[in-house]
Amino acid sequence: MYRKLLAVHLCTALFCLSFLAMYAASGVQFAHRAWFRFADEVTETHLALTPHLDGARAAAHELMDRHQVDGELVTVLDTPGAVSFRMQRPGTLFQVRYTPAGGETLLTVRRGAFGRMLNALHTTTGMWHGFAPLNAWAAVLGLVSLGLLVLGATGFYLWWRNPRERLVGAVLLAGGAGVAVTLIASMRLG
Amino acid sequence: MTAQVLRKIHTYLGLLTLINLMVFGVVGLAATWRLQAAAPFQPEEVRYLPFTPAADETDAAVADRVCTLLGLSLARPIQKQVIQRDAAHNLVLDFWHANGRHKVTVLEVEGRLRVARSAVPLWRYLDTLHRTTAAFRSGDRRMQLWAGYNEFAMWSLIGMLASGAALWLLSRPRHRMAQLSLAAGFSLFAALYFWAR
Repeated sequence: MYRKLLAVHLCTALFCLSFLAMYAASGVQFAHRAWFRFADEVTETHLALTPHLDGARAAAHELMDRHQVDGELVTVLDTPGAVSFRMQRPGTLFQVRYTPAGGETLLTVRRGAFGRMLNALHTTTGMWHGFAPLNAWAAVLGLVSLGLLVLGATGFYLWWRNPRERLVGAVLLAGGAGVAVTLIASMRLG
Repeated sequence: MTAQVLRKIHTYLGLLTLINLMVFGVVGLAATWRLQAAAPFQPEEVRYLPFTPAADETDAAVADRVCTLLGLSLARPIQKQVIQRDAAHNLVLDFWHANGRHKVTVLEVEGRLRVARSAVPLWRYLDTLHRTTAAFRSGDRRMQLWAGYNEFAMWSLIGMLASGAALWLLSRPRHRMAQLSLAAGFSLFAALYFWAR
């Protein structure tokens, strides 16, 4: 049993390693934003789309079909004479201003650095997105989260089966869990 | 010797932060099934309390007093955006905190407060906790303590990843399933990264 669970612990950890490293690294970035500076790459392109398209969704579809722009349509702003909208994929923002009268379109692409990409992936949740890679990331998030729970459970068992570490471990576990559970319950209850 | 020390570090960090790691796991699982948009504010409970602002009290001072009156220490420090006015020019205090939201309307003419409260489910509460690290300056001592502890857990996770990988390389680098697991995980990560980018 011990050897089997040790193998489960090891294999689960190694499978999740890249993802957990990404979540941990981006977690540090979220917690200490001042430590990091990201230089985004911004490009502007003038395009000609079909005139008189029916709103942002149609323009977004034409951009996807003809100009290799792909992402999730996130915001739409209708202004007199033009439609502005944003499409987004992790680490990249497409800002579009489309003029239905003549089809002139200004496409601004803001491509984030590696660190910004990690942050975007960290916050990708839910499987309702219109952009398939985001749904895939959310599914993997579930898998890795399950992996983390498996690591906790198997790690606990592996520690308990080692009598030499039981006393020191029990003190650390009681201290850590005691503080954490007390704080979580106390703040939840008021 | 090195492996023994690494094993101790790995085990101790895991035991010290076990609850935090479980919180990360639960929050991640819940986030997988998260719905698209947050529901609009729908109070679960509305109550009225007697309250009269002093003649020379500023809005910020009123907000501070209301926060104390309602025991909303988790909503501290009070941000500027908390203090608002409604269409009838009543002072509206929109307190967001880990447990939900208290939207308080100061009805000065009536001499009372309208307190509308909505609570978040447990997983949303844990979601807030998992994001709270030492950079977050809460006005609540318990949250400050949690923030420091959670920061420690974040660094511990990095320490466990490093010590775990080193332990594997020192003790059983030829473990076939372990090699395959690492390759599968890394390949999946790389494929998803470039697909999403």
